[in-house]
Amino acid sequence: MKNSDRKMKPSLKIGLFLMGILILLAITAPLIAKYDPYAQDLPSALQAPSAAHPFGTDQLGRDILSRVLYAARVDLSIMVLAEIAPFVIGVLLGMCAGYFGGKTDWIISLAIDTFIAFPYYLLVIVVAFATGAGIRGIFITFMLVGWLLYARVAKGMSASLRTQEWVDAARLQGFSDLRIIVKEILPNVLPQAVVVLMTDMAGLLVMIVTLGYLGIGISAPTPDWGTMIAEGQTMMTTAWWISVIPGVMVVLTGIALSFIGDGLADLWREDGF
Amino acid sequence: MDHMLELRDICAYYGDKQVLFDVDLVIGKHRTLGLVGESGSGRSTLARVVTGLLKKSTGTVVFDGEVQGAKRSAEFYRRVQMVFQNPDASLNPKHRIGTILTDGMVIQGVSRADAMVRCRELITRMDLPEDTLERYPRSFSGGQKQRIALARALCTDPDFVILDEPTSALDVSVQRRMLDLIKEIREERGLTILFISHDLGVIRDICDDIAVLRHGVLQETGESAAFFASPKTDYGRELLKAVPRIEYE
Repeated sequence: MKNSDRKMKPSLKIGLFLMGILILLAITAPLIAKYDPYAQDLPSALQAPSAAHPFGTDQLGRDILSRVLYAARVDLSIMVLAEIAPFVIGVLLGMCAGYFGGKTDWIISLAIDTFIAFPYYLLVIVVAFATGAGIRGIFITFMLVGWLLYARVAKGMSASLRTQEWVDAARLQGFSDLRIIVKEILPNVLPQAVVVLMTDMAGLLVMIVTLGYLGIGISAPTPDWGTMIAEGQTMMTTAWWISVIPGVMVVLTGIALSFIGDGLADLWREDGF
Repeated sequence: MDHMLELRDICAYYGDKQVLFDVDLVIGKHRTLGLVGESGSGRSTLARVVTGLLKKSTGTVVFDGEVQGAKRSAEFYRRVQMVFQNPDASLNPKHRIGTILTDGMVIQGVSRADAMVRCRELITRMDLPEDTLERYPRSFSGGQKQRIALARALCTDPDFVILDEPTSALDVSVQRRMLDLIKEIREERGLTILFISHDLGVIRDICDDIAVLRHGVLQETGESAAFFASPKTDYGRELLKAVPRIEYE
């Protein structure tokens, strides 16, 4: 079976389509949003969805549609940017631990076990208090704990791959360890790591939103789905749209990422992984 | 007789467990030595010691008159190659065959274009489809994969090739073809071969010399014809007796 023969799974198509729309909305927010997301307009406060304000307004009269779109820019970009370093570091460390085994494995595994012993959210809250609320805290915390998951996945896979005969064959071709890790092992670890990345990004988004909700994440007035949900919670019965609309955005993003992850896993499983 | 490979007092370990005990063995140039024994007798381990893949070993490996250190030279890896037992595990599933075959040559300093030309010749020689280089390993049968693995081993134009059970995962008709191909290539290139197998029929067919290994201890060595006529040890006789024979009316 050649590469081109592989069929894209419906779940992957749906996931990519949904995520594509969300990213497009985030990028084109300044074009779509009719109002300044920061502009307060108290006489128009708490308006229900209408032609002028499709998703209504909040208690300060800010347009929810505009805020939700700008929040997508903030939340999605943090979600992606905060994942990059942990992904790269985790996969590299995990591959080294799995491939070399011995002392390298012992040291890296010790680091993994140490960090994994911390309750996740507690660590997030401690760092957030230490660095002050805001994006920096999210980045620092996720740098500390985000790589663990990738390291564990990459380690497990590399440990089993290094005994494969094609790795021995690569050694016999005179390849260095570095080359074997990067050129031989990495292409086999990457699919699994990317599937984990999709799941983890959804988890990170929930974390960003939760921190915003708790008031220690992205701070007001920067639009963020979490702070928006928090702002509207006392008015759920009278002005549901303030909380529900950003909540729906979080759910949609989570579904899109899950679908992409599932679809990729199916696609690569057919290849024998 | 010139020796291509000489092993002196080879001991090998997996963790604390010793799996090879003071093995001495020589393989003459342009000879094919069959290494036989049961599973777990240490045959593949010996191959790993020769190639330097197994670090935890003692003793001396002399290749073409040169004592080998713990780290083998690039030249050693050009001259010594190996074909593994399991065709499904010996090719990286994520690379096209073209990449698998040319990478080794490129690292030896051959240009990618020249390497591709040499690969195409080998592919034709191995009787593989023309579009082989563009395809991934999963689209080939076990026999084809094993011929690709053999092609990879021959890419660097080696003098000495270790074949670790190259036919045992293949069905009988495919096995025959593979053995014939190995014989032809051996003649064409004047290869020295260490042929690991548990199949005495195959060994008899292809090998000049034989070495019998049991529980990591070398039992006997000698010319293949002499062994099959009359083994020197009880274990050798036992092995011969265990070969299934098909009686025809």
